[in-house]
Amino acid sequence: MFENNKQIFKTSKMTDVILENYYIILVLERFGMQLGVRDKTVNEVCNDYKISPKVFITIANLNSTDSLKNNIDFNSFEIKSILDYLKKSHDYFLNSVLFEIERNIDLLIKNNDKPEMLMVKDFFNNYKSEVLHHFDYENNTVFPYVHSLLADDDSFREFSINEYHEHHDDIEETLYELKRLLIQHLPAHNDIEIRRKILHDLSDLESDLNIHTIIENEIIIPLVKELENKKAIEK
Amino acid sequence: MKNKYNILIVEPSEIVFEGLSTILTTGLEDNLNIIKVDSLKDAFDNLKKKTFQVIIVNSIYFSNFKNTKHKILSIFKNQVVIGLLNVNIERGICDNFSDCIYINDDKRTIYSIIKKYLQNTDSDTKINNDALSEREIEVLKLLVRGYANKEIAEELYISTHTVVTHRKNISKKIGMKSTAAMAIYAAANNIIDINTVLKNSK
Repeated sequence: MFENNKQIFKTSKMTDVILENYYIILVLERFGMQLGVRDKTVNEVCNDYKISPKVFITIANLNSTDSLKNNIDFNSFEIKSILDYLKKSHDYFLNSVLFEIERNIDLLIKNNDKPEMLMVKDFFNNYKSEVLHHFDYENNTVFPYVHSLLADDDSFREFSINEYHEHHDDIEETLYELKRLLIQHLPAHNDIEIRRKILHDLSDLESDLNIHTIIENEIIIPLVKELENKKAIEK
Repeated sequence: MKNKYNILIVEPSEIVFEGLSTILTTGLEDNLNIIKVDSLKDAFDNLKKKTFQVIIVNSIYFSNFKNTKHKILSIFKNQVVIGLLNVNIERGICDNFSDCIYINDDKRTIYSIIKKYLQNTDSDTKINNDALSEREIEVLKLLVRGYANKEIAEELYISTHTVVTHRKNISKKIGMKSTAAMAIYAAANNIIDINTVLKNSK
C-alpha cells in the first residue's frame, strides 16, 4: 500500500493516525484495542492495553509505508505480542476475508453457472486450503516453538526456524492469478458489482498478506535466529 | 542526429542515482532527460505525465515479494523496465522485466543494454501482441489436460526444452503461471472443451 507515506510517532494522536489510514483500525483490532480513542496519543492508547508502543508503531508504519524503518530489536514480551498479532490476523483472514470472498464467488456462480465459473470456485477452494494449511502450520508449530524458545523450554529442541516452510510466494501468486482471471479473462455476465466486491476483497487481502509476510520474514525470523544462536552458545 | 529520450530511475540512493545518471549522460550521445524518484508511487505519478523510453528500478523495490513485482509490471505495463541489481542478487529476479543491470557492471555493459532499448523505441515497432500462437495453443491444450512437459514433447514431436520455452511464453502472455489458472483461461477462451478437463481432473 503506497498510498500515503506519513510516519507514525508515539506522540501522534491516535485519531489522526486512523483518519490518515483506515487500515490502522485493523491493527488496533488485532491488538485488542477499542475505538473511541478520545484525544489519546499512540503512546497512551498502547499503555492502556499494555502493548509496547514500539511494536504498535512498527506494525502500523508497515501498513502506511510498506517498509520497515524502525530497528527490529524487540524483547521477549514484545515478540509475544507480535506473535499474538499474527495469530489474530490469521483468524481474520480465514473467518472474515476468505469467508466473504467464498460467499461472493457462490453468488457469482448463482448468477452465471458456466463451467469456467465452477472452475474458479475449485481454484479458490484449493487456494483456501493451501492458506489454511500454512496458517495451521504457523499457529501450531512455528509459534509454539518461538514461545518455547522465549520460555527457555527445551521441548521443541528438534525444530529450527530454518525449517520454516516458505510458501508465502505461492499464496501471493495464486491471488494474483485469481485477480487476473476475474479482470481479464472470464466473460462478463452482468456481474460487475459482485466481481468488484471480490476484487476489492482480494486486493485488500493481498496487501494485508504482504505486510503479514514482512512481519514474519523480516521481524520474527531474524529475531528467532538470534535467539537460537544465543542458545547454541550457552550450551 | 541527437534523439531526445526520457529515462526514469526509481532509486532511493542519491549516490547511486548521481553515478548512474552521470554514466548515462556521458556515455550516450543522445539528449537525455533523466528523472529520479524514490518511491513507486512517485514513479507512477510521473508516468501519468510523461512517456519514458526506459525505466530503471532498483531491486530493493521488488526483491522481497513477487507481489510487488507484479505490481511494478502492471504499473509499467508495456514499458521497458530494467532492474538495477545488487551484486548478491540473482538475475532470475528480473525474469519478467525487459533486462537487468548490475550495480558493478562496467560502463560499456550499461551503455549497450540501455542503448538496445532506446533504439528499439525509435522505430516504434514495438507491437504488443499477447495473442497465443497456434503452437502455443496446442501446448496449452495438453498442459491443462495434465500432460507433463515430456509427454507434450513426445506428442508434438518437439524437444522438452522447446515445451518449456512455449510454456514460459504462454505464462508471460496470459499473465499466469499455474496450470489450474491456465485451465480456466483456456476454458473461458474456448480453447478447450471444459467437460473433458473437469473429467480428467477428477
